[in-house]
Amino acid sequence: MRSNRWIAATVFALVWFSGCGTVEDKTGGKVSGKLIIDNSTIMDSDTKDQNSRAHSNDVTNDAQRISNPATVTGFMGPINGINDISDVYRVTLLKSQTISLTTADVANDDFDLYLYGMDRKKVADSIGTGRIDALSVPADGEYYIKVYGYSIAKYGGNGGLYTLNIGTKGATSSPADHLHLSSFYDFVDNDLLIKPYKTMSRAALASQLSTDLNSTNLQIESLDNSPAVSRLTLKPSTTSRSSSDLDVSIPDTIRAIKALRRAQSVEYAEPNYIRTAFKTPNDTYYPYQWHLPLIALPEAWDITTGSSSVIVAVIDTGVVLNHPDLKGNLIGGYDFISDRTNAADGGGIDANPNDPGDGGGAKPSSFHGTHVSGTIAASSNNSAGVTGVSWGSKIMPLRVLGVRGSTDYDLVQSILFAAKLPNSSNRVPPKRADIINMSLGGPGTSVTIQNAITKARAEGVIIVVAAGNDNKNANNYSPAGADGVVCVSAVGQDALKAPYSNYGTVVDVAAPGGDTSVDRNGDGYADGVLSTISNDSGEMGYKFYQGTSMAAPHMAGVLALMKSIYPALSPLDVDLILEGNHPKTSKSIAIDKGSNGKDIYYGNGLINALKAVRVAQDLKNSPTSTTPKLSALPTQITFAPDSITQSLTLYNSGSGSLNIQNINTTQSWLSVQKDRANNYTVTVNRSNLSAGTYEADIVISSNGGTVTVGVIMQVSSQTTGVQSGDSGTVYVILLDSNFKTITSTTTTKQKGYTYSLNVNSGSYYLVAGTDIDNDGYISNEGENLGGYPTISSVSKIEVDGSRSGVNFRVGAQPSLKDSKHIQSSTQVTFPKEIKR
Amino acid sequence: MKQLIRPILLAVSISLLTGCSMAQSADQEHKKADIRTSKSQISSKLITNTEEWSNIYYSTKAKGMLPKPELPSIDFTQKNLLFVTMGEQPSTGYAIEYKDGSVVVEDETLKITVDLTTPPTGSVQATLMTEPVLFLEISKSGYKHIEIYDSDAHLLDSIKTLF
Repeated sequence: MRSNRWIAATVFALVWFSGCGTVEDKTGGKVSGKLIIDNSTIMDSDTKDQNSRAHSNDVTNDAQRISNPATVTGFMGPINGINDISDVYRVTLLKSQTISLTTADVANDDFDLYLYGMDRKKVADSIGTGRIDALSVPADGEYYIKVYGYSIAKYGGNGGLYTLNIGTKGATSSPADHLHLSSFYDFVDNDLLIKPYKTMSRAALASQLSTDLNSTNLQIESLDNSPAVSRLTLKPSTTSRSSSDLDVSIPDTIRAIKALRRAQSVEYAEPNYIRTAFKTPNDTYYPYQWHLPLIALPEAWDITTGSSSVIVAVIDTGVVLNHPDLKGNLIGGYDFISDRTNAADGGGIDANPNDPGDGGGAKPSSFHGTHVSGTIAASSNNSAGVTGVSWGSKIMPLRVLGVRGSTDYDLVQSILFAAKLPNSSNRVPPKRADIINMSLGGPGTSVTIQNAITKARAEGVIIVVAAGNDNKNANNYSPAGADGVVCVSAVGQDALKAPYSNYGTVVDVAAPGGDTSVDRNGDGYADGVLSTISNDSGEMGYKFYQGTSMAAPHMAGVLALMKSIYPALSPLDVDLILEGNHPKTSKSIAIDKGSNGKDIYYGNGLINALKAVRVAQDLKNSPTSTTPKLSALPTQITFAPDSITQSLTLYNSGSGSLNIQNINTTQSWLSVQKDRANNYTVTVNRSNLSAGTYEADIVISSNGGTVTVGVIMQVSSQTTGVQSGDSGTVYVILLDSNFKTITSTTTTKQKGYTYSLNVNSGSYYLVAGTDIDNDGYISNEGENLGGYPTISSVSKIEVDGSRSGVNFRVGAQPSLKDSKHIQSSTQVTFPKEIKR
Repeated sequence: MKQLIRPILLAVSISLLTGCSMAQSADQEHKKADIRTSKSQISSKLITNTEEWSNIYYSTKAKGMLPKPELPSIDFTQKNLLFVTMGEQPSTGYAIEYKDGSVVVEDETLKITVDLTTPPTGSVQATLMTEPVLFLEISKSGYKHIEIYDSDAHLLDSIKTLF
């Protein structure tokens, strides 16, 4: 039976083909080759395509075993008069892998994604009404994945296509937040928040909603119809557990939301989520410290508030040691001001870092060091005063700034002291500082200061400095322009560069420094940074200051939080993390601002405390040994009946240098060969093996330990074998220059996806695709597609005689479009014929 | 000579006087006038009533302080306040002080001299935005103009009073 099949292609480039394949017969006759199907390409075993063999995968006993990673194209809907509403897959997954389900025709279809353990208990679901559903794997292990055709089960219809991505990039892995739903979220049972499209009376709205909910058998308990948002409460119902072998029952709240969204009678409908507050300190003036939430500190404090074993040395004017909001967090310290007049405390260097004031009688004292220290580690959550960034950490006050400022010599001595190195005091602290904060500087560079910084850094001290306040290039300032420091620029309450902040290529990161010319948050106070202070009368208090002096301690405090989680955090770690080059994490600890990537105003971005502590957690959970550690991916390999080769990657999950010493297999039918770098090809030889399931191990030994990779191989056509590299029946179509179908054929995995088309000499286009919804079209959204030489740039091939070796890739489309057929500016439609 | 002037609240206010430019988008304009000390940045104002005194006090010396301090009492029926500011500066180390005994009245002009301090060359300073200010109590009469000079006799600013 002939049927017309139409295809639509993406972009066609009129590039003459040359050089590929082998000309065998100049008198004309044949084009042949092989379709390249990735191992990760898999087709739903029960689709509507009548040219593909169908095997039910509706229940766990018939679960379709698939590889990981995988891109599965599937169909949900009526097949031969019976509704296929469930596709179950069985797969080995890794913790934190993302599973995503893309529904091709979201306007008509609502497909849901579920994850179950081997005990058939649901562990995650994504049951929203958007195009994408996605969930994260909670732990390594074997799972059932179920794609459930909610709309097919409930409303019937012609069915539709989907794509299931496991460990591969789908169209997007991010579901639209406002359409996302999960039964694992906390929300008030039977409560919905809705917004009608237009204002209407309560009675009219209730009537409409009742109609929309008719299909759910849910009834309205109450309706609070306010202008901003309406709250609908349902009457409790007895939700029966679904009788399917994998439970797909969902809360009544979600059933109701799905019904209202499908009816499109409201602008939105969503659960009444239960939100929990992040840790919020009870300090009196915390509400005025806009600069702390600006860098996600409340969220970070849920993870850590700082450890008392982390010490931040504040090299500054000293600290008012008896300030009530600081005294509990101070340790040791020293006064390195060597000039008695500058020191204004009756002596030169001494063991007393108390700040007597830097006013010298000519001006009010700044008590700058007290302010900086409070930002880092003011005693917090004590119902008084202000909140510090890392309030569990300790401050080591080191005094260098006197009435006339500081000298390079005094500054150098304080740096050495903080690093527990020999210095002019002839003393060292019991424990060196983990972090140094220097909210100071001046124009010009200093080799002396650079040398001290280099030495301190070599001891493991992370050094944070302010960029300066001249709105000039910080490269020419010291210590801002020194090597080996974390240079911090300032932003205001709007997270934009403060007008005074220096900038330049030396800026590593930005943090709140304030701008007291404005009150953007309308709290009645200028937008400075609020912290601890004193005055020349000895009164303790708090004040808003602005400057890169205020920005640097925010960064120092965030680093203290990171150190509290991951004590081994080194200066090099910080450098590599900021650059995005750390071997154990690619995550950033800042929010990109300004130009994409690093720029001269914000460096690598506005520091974000939550991202930072999470990175610290990642580092903590990563192997910390300095020795190599052998790891393999995948950890288990399964060969489906027709699968001959698989890839294996061996890599170093530790540090140092990994040397593979030996690779052995425990069975003679199994062999491993190195391809390149870390990649190996695992091959099975089924010769002389009778039908059955075989097991073997690949044992890899190295200087980083020994790893065993299990292998399972099937010799038979059992459908319960793990499938991979299977796109079902693929239609291969040859088109003339006018895009008219000349001839076509089908191929399958059993044929090795080889094809052969008889054709006269001439110029042709060659395309291939699947038609799993059996609608007569290939390349619908959710179907696989390929073109020679690539689908993104299909070129004519010249056939002068026969051409063989015309191979090209067929796979999931690079992106899903809104229309049923791929649209492009050069779209052409091709008729195609299939001969049986 | 009757006492024409009494320095009070000799102060460098570590805060910003209102009226400075709004923060600008870093993606737009970054050219801003050099805010290093210059004689032309000195500005002054004669405060004659409590309302003016409150506005300036809480926007300079007491700016951003918590708890909010009480406004020092000034008897404006007997005295005025002369307010002089160095403007916004990029660090500590700046100061403005009344030069003792420098006040004179010539041709109905009250002339005072102030000493301006800037950070020593090559010194390291705290990277804190500051605004050195000076408040002087002066008599309510006996002059029609006020001129402020530096120690090199350069005129820094002048005020024409309404008296």
